[in-house]
Amino acid sequence: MTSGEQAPDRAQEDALDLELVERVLGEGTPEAFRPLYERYKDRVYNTAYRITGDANLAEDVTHDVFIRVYERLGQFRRRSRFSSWLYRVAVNRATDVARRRGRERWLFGVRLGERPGVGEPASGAEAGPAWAAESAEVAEEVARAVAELSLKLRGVVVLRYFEGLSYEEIAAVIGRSVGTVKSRLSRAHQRLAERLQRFC
Amino acid sequence: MGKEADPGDGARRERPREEQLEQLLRSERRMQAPPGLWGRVARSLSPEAAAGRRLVRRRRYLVEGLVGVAASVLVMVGVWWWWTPARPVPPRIERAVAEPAGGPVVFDEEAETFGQEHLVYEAANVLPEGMIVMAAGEGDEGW
Repeated sequence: MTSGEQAPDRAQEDALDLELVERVLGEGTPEAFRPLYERYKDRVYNTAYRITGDANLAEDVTHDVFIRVYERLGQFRRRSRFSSWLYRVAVNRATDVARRRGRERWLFGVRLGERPGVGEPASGAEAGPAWAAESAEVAEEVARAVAELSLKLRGVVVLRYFEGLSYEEIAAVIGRSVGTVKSRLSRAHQRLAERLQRFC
Repeated sequence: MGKEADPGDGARRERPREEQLEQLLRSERRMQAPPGLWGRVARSLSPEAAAGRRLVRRRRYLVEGLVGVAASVLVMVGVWWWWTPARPVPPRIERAVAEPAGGPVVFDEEAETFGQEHLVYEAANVLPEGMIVMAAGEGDEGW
């Protein structure tokens, strides 16, 4: 998909977001908020999980993020995209929680057989037992490598590679320039490449 | 002629490795939120829960405000104490004997008074410089 084709999709997404926001502001009920929640719950949870490294914390963060968004929806200025604003709240909240735990470099508690979160296998691969075991090992190593990054680097890595945001969108989320985003990603690349070299 | 090293070789080898790393990261599955999370969120969005959160927030702001005020007072007191020069310790009132025209001035150590009031002023002239002279009352009421 080219960037030109992405622009109309993004514009449609933004328009839908604004429509849902207006509906919530107009009706003011939790039920009116549900479509917005359903639209973004997995993205927020995934972001929180990748930053905190813990499924329970990710659930708490996701809950807190949507409560905060609902309470402050009236303050949302249309100057930025709703998704950028939502991601900003999610990243900040997840970072606060992770920092409060005082362990920036702890390892994920992900092991084979545990439920870190319901997910789907990577696309294009057959779901056989051998593949599943190897895939789980790779996933665990990737998770550990990301968890060992500092919170600043972890945030941009999660937004870029796990959420698929562009440099400009990430810059809007973290409130920094595109150059800073690229610089942080470059540093994160170096550390991840050293850590995951046997898989690359 | 030998083959010269191409300075771009290292960079070109590095690029596929970066692309592999990016592909590895992007291929990771996206986690999904637990199915029952909406129930928890909906309960927290109820008016009662919202009122409870507002109360908790107000209490927290109050406590933070009081802590801030206390800290400011402590800082100001600390700065004042640090910058205020130490007061000299008043010297002990020593026994002073003089022979003014009005008669001897005797310092009663027990009562810590001078016996003749009108000679207090004379005593002030013979006492060592810097000694604190205080007078209060009349007659033998003392200092």
